[in-house]
Amino acid sequence: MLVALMLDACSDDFLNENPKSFLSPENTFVDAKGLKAVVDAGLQGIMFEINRDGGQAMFDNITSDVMVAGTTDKNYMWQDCNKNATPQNAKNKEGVRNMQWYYETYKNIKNANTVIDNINVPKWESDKERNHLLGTAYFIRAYFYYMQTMHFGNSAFVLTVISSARNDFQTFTMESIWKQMITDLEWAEKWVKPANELPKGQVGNSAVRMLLTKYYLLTNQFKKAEDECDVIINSGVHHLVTDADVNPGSTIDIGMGSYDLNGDGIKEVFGGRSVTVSADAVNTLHSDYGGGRLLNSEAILVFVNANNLDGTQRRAKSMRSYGPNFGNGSGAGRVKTPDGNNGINDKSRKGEQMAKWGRGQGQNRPTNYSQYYIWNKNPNDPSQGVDTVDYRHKRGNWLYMNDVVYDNASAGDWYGKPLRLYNDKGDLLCQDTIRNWFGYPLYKFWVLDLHDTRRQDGGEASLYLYRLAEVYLLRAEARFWQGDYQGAADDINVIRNRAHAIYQYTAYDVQRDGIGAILDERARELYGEEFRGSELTRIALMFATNGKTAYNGKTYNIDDISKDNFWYDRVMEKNDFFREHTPTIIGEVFTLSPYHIFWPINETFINANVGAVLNQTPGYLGDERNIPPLVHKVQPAGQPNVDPMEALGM
Amino acid sequence: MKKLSINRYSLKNQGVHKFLLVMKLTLMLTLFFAINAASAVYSQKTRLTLNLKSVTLEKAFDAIEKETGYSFFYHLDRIDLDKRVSINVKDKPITEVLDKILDFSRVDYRIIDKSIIIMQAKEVLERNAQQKSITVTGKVVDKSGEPIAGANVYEKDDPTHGVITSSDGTYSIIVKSPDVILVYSFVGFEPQELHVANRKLIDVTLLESAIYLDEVVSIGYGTSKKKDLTGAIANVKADDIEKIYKPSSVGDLLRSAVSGLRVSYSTDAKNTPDFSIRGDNSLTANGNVPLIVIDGVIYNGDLADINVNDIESVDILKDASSASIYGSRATNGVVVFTTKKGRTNKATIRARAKYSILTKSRRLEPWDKNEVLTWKEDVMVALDGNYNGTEEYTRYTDPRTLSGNELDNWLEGTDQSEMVPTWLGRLGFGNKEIDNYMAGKSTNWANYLFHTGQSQSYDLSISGKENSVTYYWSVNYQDNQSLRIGDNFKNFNSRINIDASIGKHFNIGMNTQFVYQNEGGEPVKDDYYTVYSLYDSPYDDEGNLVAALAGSNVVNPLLASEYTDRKFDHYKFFPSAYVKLSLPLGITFTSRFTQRIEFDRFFEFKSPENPVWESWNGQGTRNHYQIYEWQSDNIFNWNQNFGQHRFDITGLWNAERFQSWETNAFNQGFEPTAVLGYHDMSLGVNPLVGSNDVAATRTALMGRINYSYGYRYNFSASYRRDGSSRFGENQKHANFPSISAGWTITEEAFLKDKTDWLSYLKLRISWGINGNSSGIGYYDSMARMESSKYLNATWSGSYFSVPYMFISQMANSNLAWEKAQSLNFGLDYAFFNDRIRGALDVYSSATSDLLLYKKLPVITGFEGVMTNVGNVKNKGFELSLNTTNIKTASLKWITNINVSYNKNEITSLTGEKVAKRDADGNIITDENGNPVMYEPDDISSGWFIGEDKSVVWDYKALGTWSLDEAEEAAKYHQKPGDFHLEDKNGDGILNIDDKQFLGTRIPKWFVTMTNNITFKSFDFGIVFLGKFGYIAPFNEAQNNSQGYIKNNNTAAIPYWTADNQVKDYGRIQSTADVPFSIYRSKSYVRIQNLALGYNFPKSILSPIGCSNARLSFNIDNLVVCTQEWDYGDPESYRELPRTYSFSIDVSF
Repeated sequence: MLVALMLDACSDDFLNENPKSFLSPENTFVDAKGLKAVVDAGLQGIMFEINRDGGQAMFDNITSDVMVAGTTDKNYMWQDCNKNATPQNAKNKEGVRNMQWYYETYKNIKNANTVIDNINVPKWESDKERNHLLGTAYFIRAYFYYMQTMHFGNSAFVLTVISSARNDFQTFTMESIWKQMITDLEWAEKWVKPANELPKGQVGNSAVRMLLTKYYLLTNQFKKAEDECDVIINSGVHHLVTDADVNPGSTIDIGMGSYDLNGDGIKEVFGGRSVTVSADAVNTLHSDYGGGRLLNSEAILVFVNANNLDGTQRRAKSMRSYGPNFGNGSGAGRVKTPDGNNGINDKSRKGEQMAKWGRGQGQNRPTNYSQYYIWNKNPNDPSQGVDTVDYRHKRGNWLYMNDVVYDNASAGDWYGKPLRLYNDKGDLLCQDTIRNWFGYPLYKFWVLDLHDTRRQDGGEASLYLYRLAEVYLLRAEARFWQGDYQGAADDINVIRNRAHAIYQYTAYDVQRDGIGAILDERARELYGEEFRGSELTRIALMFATNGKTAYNGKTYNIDDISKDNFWYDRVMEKNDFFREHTPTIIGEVFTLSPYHIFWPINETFINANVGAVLNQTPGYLGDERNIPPLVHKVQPAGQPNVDPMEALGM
Repeated sequence: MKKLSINRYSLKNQGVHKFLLVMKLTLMLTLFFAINAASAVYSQKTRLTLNLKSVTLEKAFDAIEKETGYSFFYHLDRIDLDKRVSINVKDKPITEVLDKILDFSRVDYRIIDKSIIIMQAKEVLERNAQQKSITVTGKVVDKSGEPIAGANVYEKDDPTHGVITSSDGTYSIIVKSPDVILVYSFVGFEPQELHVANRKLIDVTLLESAIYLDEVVSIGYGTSKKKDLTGAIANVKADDIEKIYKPSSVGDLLRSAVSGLRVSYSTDAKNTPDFSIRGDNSLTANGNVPLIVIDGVIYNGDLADINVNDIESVDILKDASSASIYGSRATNGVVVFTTKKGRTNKATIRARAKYSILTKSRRLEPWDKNEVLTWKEDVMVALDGNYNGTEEYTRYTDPRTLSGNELDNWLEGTDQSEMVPTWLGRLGFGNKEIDNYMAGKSTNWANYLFHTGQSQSYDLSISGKENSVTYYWSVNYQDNQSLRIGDNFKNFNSRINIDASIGKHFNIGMNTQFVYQNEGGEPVKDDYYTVYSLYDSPYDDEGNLVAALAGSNVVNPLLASEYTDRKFDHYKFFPSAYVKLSLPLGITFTSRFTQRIEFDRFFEFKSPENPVWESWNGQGTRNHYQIYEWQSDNIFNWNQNFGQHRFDITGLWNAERFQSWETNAFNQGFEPTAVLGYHDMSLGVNPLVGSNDVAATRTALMGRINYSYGYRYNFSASYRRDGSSRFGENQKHANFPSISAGWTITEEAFLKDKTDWLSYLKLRISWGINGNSSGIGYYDSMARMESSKYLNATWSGSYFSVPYMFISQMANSNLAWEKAQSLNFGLDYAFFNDRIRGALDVYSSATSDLLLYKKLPVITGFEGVMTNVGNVKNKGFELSLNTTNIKTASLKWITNINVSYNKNEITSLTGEKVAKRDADGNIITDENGNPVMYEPDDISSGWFIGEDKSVVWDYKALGTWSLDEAEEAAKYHQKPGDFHLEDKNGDGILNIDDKQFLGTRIPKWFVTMTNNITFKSFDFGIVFLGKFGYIAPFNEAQNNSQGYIKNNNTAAIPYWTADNQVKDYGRIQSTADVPFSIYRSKSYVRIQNLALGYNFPKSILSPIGCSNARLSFNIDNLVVCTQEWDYGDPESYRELPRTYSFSIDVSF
């Protein structure tokens, strides 16, 4: 035996051990399946941004006019921005996601590049399959570069998979990055299949066109943008969910009330207002427990998730992220009864109200603008009061704090009565009104969480990234920029009518409010769905490049974008926290400056790139080392790329 | 004619040009005895002048050699070179000179050519023949009366005339006359000389030699006598350690035994600490583990597998030349364990039992039930924006201390009878806590998390020799607990070592170890033991465990262990079979085949009864892990002596293959019942399976030559070529040479016996290159895809899972061996008759091509790549000092001190230089206009060129801001009580430019001192251990963690208040513009062990057939003294125990 072993060991092959339990690129990219799996990694990467508490999408939203970081017990980055939004701040929590955005983005760009680099490796039976897959990879890459440039402006630019320990990356102008992405997407829209030929969760043709629309708007190509929207709307693949899709007289459960949680056949009903509301187009569109979000064609790109399946992704934790933190509070009681007793039972086995409305943490807290002002019946006349008919704001769909009742045993006579913000003497009964006390669109965020049914954080749910309603609002915007105010008003009203909003926009309204009219409707329709910070940045970049006068009477210049921009002016106008330097309970104050339009690149990322200067975002410490960004030369779509720096002979 | 062999003669003259004479001499001697020639003519012509007064004969020979160019040849044992002679001649023939200084009653000489050969005189031989011979018999035993088999007994004047003791220690020798002096010697013992003087029965007791120079030390694929060593090898005899205390693990055995070997602490029941030799040579943490060798075979298993009682000796190969024998994996040194073998014909039975109690020693404690109220009040005031900390009283003040208006204000209209509950509510206590407080109830959480642990160990071994078979058999059972409740480790270990001689030339044998280990159930979770509210309780009124406790996300620590059914055990089988062929001329060939077979099971069921896990509806895991590894070692050895010249040549051919298979099964949602637990995994509805198989191979070729001349000069050279499958396509092989030499100065004539204070002095020097491959994974040179799944759905809403995958690792086909080149100077010394002895080693090593997971810019989309970059240097020294302070018949006191110092420095990281830029980003140029190039630090990994690998680079905290400094603090957005961080460049902004090097995380100094006092039948030992020169974060001092402000208890450490402006501790919720840590020195001295033992006297034991019996009592970790580390033990915040042990050890 020894001799046999010796002979065996003497052969050259003895030291060649191949991996047994993982795949290598060589044996993975031999066919379409292998490459498709990498496309799916990119899609899962997009989903990761919007799915979970503290996700990147939440951070994007707190850099806008509709929300702020509500975690007031931690000095998070995006509250006192002048102090904490720095390249040195390395906390990586829900209020500080600039780091995560940055590295997840490039990881997913690598995934897209993997597909593009290897697109010619498998033997393809037809161009159709090859080009659909390549087009999908272009979508993923263009999606992430869109996000990257909206967040950081000029950026490092890679178009191939890096295969050596490179550390000499340099910054490219965002404009030249966009040109390449538009070239790629224009190619992709010819090849990517329509959504109805693909499973839910995959990128269809309309999704490609929708992203291209945003790029066209960004580069002030308004007609092209409008045309893309027309194609999507007229494709026949996607339809808005309307009352016609709803069974007349049926109800829908928002909040716990009729789920058999204990498996004993008894459906739980907790105290407080009814959780059963009449079904309407909007709450049907957003109802997901049982897969509702997959059953409509309004979705253009939806990410699929459900509890307890092979392939289940993590929980959305949507109530935890977006809901008021009336319950949890170190036992101290965030919300007191008028007698001064702790109002809410926050023990997870006992607390009914937390189980019913969700155990919010108030991480993203609406501004007065998104919580109150946009819901006026008539935007031109606040005295007419609030629109209580609009499906998106009607009672039951929207959580009002007085839907919640005192459920703590020590609440005494107040037990079972609605929460109050003040006692009869006018004293505040709530510890922290930023974090503990606000209303929000419950219909959009409430999904049953089976992980701890007495502590509803928000369970696995399918999530919309793109849906047709936004296409109407993008077309409204494209029309607005071209001066077609009536066209813009018409598109806005399509969305309003579906929601049974009372007021109808006129061409005059759009002309007067300008982009504000569209931003208002987006806030009503897409709160917590759109990337609001990025949308404002896009519009700010447009004003800075097209020279048009904004509704506030100002014009902007791209060269001064870090000093004077529409993003900052809009946030300061609508976001009362930043405008009024609202203090938090630990004494932090909300502050903001124009250069915050783009986020700081964490200094460790820049320091790791020792071979060349990677620019810091202008305005932040370290930008003094910046060098002029490179300009990318557009490469043709359809074939693997050359590294942009190599293409410049660097 | 008496046959003479060349190796009995030695070359006197040490000139290099004489070296080749050896071979010539062989020829001459043959010739000489063949013709029996008389003095040659040449000698008559040689005349010389000499004037010597009372010099040794050896000196006289030297003088004659110098004068004449003649060389002396003689048998070392037959001439008394120390005899004093005087001579004063002028221009006399050499024969006359020789006649004058030689004693012809004993020796004669012949001169051939230019050689003078001294031989035994004919007359002596004749006279001896005439005298009446005597037969002497007797027994040779050791101190304990144990017979010594194989001891040498020979005539001092004629060492060729001798016998060897039999297995019962007896001997019989016929000596020539009563004048004969007999020498008794055995390896490891001091030789004894006795004058026969007509005695016919001589029993001898040999004492173990103090300096162990004759000891055999394992040098890897062979052995060497300690006095022949050229490298830095430390040897530990288990028996010596056991004299001081009885170690319960291999880690305990080694911790204080050897300088340069650093053994850390492990607080769990399994008790397998990390250990390292001579600092970190690698940058990757897992790359710094020394190689373990058991009985000549590389052991890739766990240190806990080795039964400490089976160990005979441990050799630690520290320098490159010693370790390079194991080339590829020896960068961090090699620890060689030799297990016990049978020795004597009579079977030796040894039984041991040990019982230990583990108690709390130093622990970072939470506040007690009164203190916590004060602390909580201060927390609430600090968090309430309405107060600034200087108020007389606040709404959080205990109302019972208030009266009058103050109380009325406090009450805010609340009913006074309810004021205490109201107050507690304001402090953040929940209803249950308030009720408990009012009822005078509180919980001591330590009682639920920690206990007094008990450990026991039983050991039985039988060893002996039957005819040509030696055997050693042992069984050991251990049951260990730690301080943490539910942390158990059971170990059943058995070993058989058998060796049989078959005929003259063959030995076959097998060393086999079988281990069963059970790691027991899930221990309680004690990680957050300080946060539990003293007024909360883990049980509700009905006695059920509650899910959530007071505080933020505080899970009941008892739940997981209560509701987890865990089976975690290991079966390990390690047989090593060998055949050894012994050929004439000192040639041996050993072929060894070793297998390592391991089965591990990890079964776990998390019950749905646990309210926290309710939603899983039962979660089962069943993991199987299996290892099969083989090694084949084929060793050739040639060992031959030519007079003073000794050669030992070794060749090795080795191949090995490691394979492992892992299977994971997981399920959730057990329906209709979870009662079967992990026994029926099919009942779950959400199954997941996984697997991970691995294979890796290695080969090695090695050659080594050891050459010694007398006991003065030693020389060793080796060369090893290694191959490993882990490296890149192009870099599978690497070569590792080494060379070393030793010079025993005290063996030189000019020192030998010249001084009575210096008894031994040896200089050693070694150089070598070692390799390292342990820092990398099996397939790190290859690109890797990672895969997982997510969901898609049909348009009708049916879900289906979709695989996704991505490249997670880029390939590196040039991934190559990490190499360490090191130089070692050593000095072994002994003074005053060995009363003071020890060794000093000074070393310097440079590791290059470091195997490093290099972080990449995130833009690449990869986190990093395993690659060879950078260099690390280690410099240091090791000093061991062993003193015999008192040595009388009944009292002996020995002190042993080991000191090691190591300094680590990163000399290069990537090797890539980049242009230096100024603050504005412009490239700095030199006078010729070329850019100034430099190699940048790796800031993201915390590695800096020119600094220690473990250097701390952070903001320097200068203590807290005082109230007077409020204005200054505000510049940094801080308040009094926040930590003042040094703004090094004074630009008013804290950023990366203000970070400083604050110290290292790894101790520079490691010192142990052992004292062993023997008084009659009692012995007493005390071991001190100190670590110096290192710092660690103590961020508790910031008093601002989430756990701190959100829970109802925390670690009881000071905090800054306006009334108590402590410098070292921050205010509650202290802040700073930048993240930073507070560092404290961890330096400490510990009384590692205190031992008291009693050996029962022979007079009691003999009648009951017992040869040895010993009782001992030990205290481990008696006390620890720290400089700055005021809370908890520097090695563990909470679990390092103080252990009291009783043991009994009986041999038959």
